[in-house]
Amino acid sequence: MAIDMTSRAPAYRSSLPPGRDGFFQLVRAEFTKLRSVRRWLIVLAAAGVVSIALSLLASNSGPGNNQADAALTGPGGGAVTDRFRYVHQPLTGDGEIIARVVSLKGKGPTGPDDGPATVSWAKAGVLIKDDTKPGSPYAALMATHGHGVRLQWDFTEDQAGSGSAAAGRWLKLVRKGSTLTGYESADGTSWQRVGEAKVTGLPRTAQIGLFVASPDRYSLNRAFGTVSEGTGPSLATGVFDQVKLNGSTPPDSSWSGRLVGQLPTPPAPVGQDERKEGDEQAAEQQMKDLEGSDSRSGGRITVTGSGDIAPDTFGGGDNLGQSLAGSWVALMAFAALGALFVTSEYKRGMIRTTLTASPRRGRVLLAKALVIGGVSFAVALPATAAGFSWAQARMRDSGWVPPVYQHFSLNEGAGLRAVLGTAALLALVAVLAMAAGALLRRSAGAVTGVIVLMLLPLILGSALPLDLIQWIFRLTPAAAFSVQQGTPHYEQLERPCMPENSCYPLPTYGGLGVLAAWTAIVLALAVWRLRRKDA
Amino acid sequence: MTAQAFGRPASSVPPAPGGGPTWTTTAARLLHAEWTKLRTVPSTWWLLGTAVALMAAVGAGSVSAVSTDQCASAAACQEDTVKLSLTGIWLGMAVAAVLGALALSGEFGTGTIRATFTATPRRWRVLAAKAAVLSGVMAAVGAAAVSASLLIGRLVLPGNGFTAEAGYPPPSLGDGPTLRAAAGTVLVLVLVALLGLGLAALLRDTAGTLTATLGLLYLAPIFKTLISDERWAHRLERWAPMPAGLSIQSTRDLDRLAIAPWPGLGVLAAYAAGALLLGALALRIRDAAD
Repeated sequence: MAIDMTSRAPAYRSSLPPGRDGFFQLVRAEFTKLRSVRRWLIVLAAAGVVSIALSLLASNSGPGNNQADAALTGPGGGAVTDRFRYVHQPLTGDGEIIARVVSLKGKGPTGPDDGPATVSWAKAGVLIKDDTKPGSPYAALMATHGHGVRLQWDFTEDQAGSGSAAAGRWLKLVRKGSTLTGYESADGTSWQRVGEAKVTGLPRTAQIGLFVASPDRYSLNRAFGTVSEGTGPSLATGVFDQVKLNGSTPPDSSWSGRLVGQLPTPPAPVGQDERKEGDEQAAEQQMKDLEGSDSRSGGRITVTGSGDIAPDTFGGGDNLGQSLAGSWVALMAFAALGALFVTSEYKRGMIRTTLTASPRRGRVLLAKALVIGGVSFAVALPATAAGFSWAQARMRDSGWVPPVYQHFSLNEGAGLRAVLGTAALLALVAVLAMAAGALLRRSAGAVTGVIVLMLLPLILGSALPLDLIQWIFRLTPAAAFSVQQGTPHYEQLERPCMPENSCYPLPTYGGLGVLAAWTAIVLALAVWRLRRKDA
Repeated sequence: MTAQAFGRPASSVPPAPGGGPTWTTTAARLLHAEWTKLRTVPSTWWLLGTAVALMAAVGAGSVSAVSTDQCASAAACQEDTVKLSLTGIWLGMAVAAVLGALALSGEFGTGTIRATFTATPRRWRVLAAKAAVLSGVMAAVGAAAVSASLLIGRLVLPGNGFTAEAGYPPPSLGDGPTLRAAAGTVLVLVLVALLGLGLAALLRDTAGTLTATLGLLYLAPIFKTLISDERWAHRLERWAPMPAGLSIQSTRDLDRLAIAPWPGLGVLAAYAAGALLLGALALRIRDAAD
């Protein structure tokens, strides 16, 4: 009855089709591992729901001080500041204006604070403008106290010329249709081109002339958790000579000086500065000072003015990051999941099976990265989009409206960029945590490391000096939050770029690139370690 | 019999073969066992060394980066130099959380917890022993880190214009508020480690515990800067463990704090106690083999 197994029975063959050793199979295997752990799926779903809920909570109320009614808007539709002393006359058709800035000096502090005598963005130069109505299109070539020669137009545009000091600089602004070209010179004979401005909406007859403006002094006090900003008006005096206007001007027209724009009411400085009581006379005098003045003697024109011609981001703020607040929570969940995706294999010894089935280490980690990154992106994108749209709609209803606050939409521009960028950020964080988990082979180090690196920079933001925190936001993976910056940072404003105000030192995709570089480096290290030291 | 006659503590005497061990011997043994476990894991010493180094380094970075030149006048800086020197707490607490969590989640991960609970079936006793050992270690390490941070502040700050003449006396433990900030910072580290331990008893998994603990600590300060609702920002500052717990570090402008120093530390202590309580309950109800 004994059966001779060896001779009669064929060798065992599985009825299953032979497995293929392709990369696609590897990815599929990793995806199966991920989706078959119910707890992880719950975490993924919860991360999405909680992040939407927190975005809604962050957009819970209206803006603190709504100045939408009082806001002045520029040609681009955004809120602007437009106040300066203007000595002008009409110019019809093409033409040019030449002037030499003899000097530009601050006229001593007008407020009770003791800042520097001349603010760095005090400016004197030549300007062409639609009319003298504030907010109308313009182009201006100017010498500034601390930022060299600048060509600026339509409030948001700013082009740097040479860094020369204001005193003794020659300026020339040439109009040709709607194109304004700025030139500067040290001697009035050899001219250097600064740039070209296209100003649409400039009528055939526009106002051209000399201007002086001196923005409010700005001081910032940052102590842990509280940031107090102080502003106070300032005055500057610019002296011009060699003023020449070439072009067709009405007969017997001459220079006339005036204040463009409205004086701030009240002009009292806010913040740290305290006004003494019974100072009404001084306040009245201060108002008078701020109106500025102009005088002519011989070939010299002296202009004293205050104010600024620039975008106004002081009243509003960037609320884009606020409507994406939930991403901070989702980030933590994705970091934990990413780390667990590989450390749980080490804990259970599963990694040996994985590596036996697919001995090429690098490909295993790459497949894991693709799966965890892809799944995270797929979950993060709808959650971020939903949270963002919902929060933005609620915020608009409660008073976050243009022109003071920018309108962000899911369909275009900064809004779309921020939603896609945030989903990419979260996916990269998951891959980074996975790579860190593979490198360290422990959950604790990977999860803590990634969370600390991503979250701590913003927390320390208000504690550390601005320079230091800006470097931290250039070098750590937290730089990637630059995708959540909605309002551009204007260099021509004396306002610091603070991460807690959603202003990041790196450009939108540059920050994401820093995170991607971190991820790539840690992944490469993980592959190296896995190859060198076996599981 | 002899032990009682001599009035000696029971712990020095081996238990009588017939009767069970007294309460004190059990406690001493449990503590000794937990201390041995903590001491013999190499990562403990790595973590503790890292905690001291990171706290001192962040403190050094913070104090050397500020200078009175950045303000209109030295007095206008209104810098809380003691708090600034102790900025490293933000990294130190992450290490404390890891240490607290690993003390228990590590045992769940490797399965040692079964042996532990077989030897000491009363779950809460194990948790209490772990909490006691962890507190002692964290307090010692915290004291070292705080002293180092304050010493660095003392050495660096005067060079940046924060001199006694300008109204910034060098940090000294003889000063009441500074002592409060220093002792409070050590307590914060202890409480964070206990919070991690409690949550580990509740969640058992290392990654989950750490995410929850760090979320509790770090998310509130972030949301405080993001949300526009003043009422919610104020609530977070008062009732979230971290902004509240760190009010103990303030040595000036106390009237501007959302919650006073000691009550703030009390809020953090309440979170830690709540987590430990829930953890003890979870250990009792849910079996270790799950």
